[in-house]
Amino acid sequence: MDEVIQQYFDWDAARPYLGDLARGFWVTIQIALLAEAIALALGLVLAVLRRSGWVRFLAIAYINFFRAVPALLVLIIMYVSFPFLPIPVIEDLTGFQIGFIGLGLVYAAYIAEVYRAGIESVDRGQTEAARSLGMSHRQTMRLVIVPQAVRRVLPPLMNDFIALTKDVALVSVIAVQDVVGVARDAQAVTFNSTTLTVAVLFYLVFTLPLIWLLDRIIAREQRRLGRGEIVSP
Amino acid sequence: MRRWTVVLTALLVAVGLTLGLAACGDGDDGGAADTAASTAAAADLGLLEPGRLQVASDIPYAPFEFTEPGSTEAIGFDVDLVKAIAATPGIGITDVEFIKQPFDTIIVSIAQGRFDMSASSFSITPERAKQIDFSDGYFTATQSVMVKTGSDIRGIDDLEGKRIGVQRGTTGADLAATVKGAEVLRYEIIDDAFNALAADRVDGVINDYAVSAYAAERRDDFEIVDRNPTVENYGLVFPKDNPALRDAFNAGLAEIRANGTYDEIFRKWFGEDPPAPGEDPLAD
Repeated sequence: MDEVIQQYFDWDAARPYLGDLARGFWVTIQIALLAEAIALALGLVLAVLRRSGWVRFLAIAYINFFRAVPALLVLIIMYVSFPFLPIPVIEDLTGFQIGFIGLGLVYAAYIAEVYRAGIESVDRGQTEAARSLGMSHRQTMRLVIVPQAVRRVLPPLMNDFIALTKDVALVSVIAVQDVVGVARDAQAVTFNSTTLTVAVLFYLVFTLPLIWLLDRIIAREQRRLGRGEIVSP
Repeated sequence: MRRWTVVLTALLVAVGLTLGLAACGDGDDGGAADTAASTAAAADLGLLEPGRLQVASDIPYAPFEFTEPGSTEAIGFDVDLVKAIAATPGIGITDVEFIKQPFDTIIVSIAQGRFDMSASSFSITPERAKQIDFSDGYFTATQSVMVKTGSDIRGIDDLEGKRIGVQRGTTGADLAATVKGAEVLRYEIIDDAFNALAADRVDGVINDYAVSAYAAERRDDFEIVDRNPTVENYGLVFPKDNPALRDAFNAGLAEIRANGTYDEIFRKWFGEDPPAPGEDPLAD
């Protein structure tokens, strides 16, 4: 037991690295937010394209591809191959940029499916009513369907954001100094795993409040719609 | 009724996991103490599995430990060295298994007794020696700077403010961290750092000379421009609680140096005679 404490909870061993770990976690947060922005925007586009027209096959292909291929593989392939492509911006992308772009592309596929479930859950009657009021398909989607759909899917969206934040750790294999990369480098030098424990704590401090917030949002929506179990907020 | 289904499923998963873990764990069950007590054969070497030597190693790190394309069999200077020493009468083991491990986890793994030893081009340093025991030095190494052929960078000082590729947890990484203003990119295996150099993601790679030279000889786009005057010695890595194995290896190492086997292995992998003891490895 003493060895466990000494290996994982030796704060003196980790103290010199706290600054670097904090900086690393800031990198983690930046990548998470940038990737999420891409995923939310691209995901919505995909979800809408998926509904009709010939583009829907492209959208479906994209969604299925990025749901099937591991994010780690996507990041590694981008990192290793892009410098050799003779395409102006792409060949100069840094590990950090590949990190948030790659994760954004992958999570867009998951989020597209979340939006899709949300859109499809909005009662057909809403569409019929909107159309009979003279709204075009585009107006219907924009003013009636999508706003309702997004509200309904806040919980799974938040879930995907938390999952994405955890997947940011993958960038440590493409030499980006996120909190996991910093923790591992320190561990390699000190042979003590306490920095890894600190990385865990950083993640907990960030995601647990999000989860709590998510639960509150769900509860509030349930109350507002008058359904679901009676739960205390 | 539904609640029972959930509980039953959870139990099945738990049982499945336990069985799975138990099956996988067969490889290293029985600690050094058990084996030491039960074996009667040869010297009491405290092996995890009597009669078999389990060696952790960061593969690939050519030419010390690597594999030929299409094969999983470990080859290299370290591999031949360990096999030769293990074959000496004082140890007498022919079943030597090299097990691939990420370099930056090996010291901790050995300290926790998960392998009998490690042969992975470990430079002997005081920090590492606090966690594990080293054998006597078996190879003198120097750090080197490798760049793209024709680069403006001709020495480690030219790397100031530039990007340096290294392997995580190596003495090369430590050296790179001392370069002023440089951005150090740490990779999982040394080949990733080489690829980064080829892709111009880094301006130079700081790594052991022998390994970088091996890569540079085989391609036109890399060249070595600097060697760090600090000399490091490689040592084999043993857990602190097994001095018997370490001592047996030291004796074996001395034996193969004396009978010419060491020189043979050295010539095989480096194409030249090993330096005489005390000779400056930089003088060539």
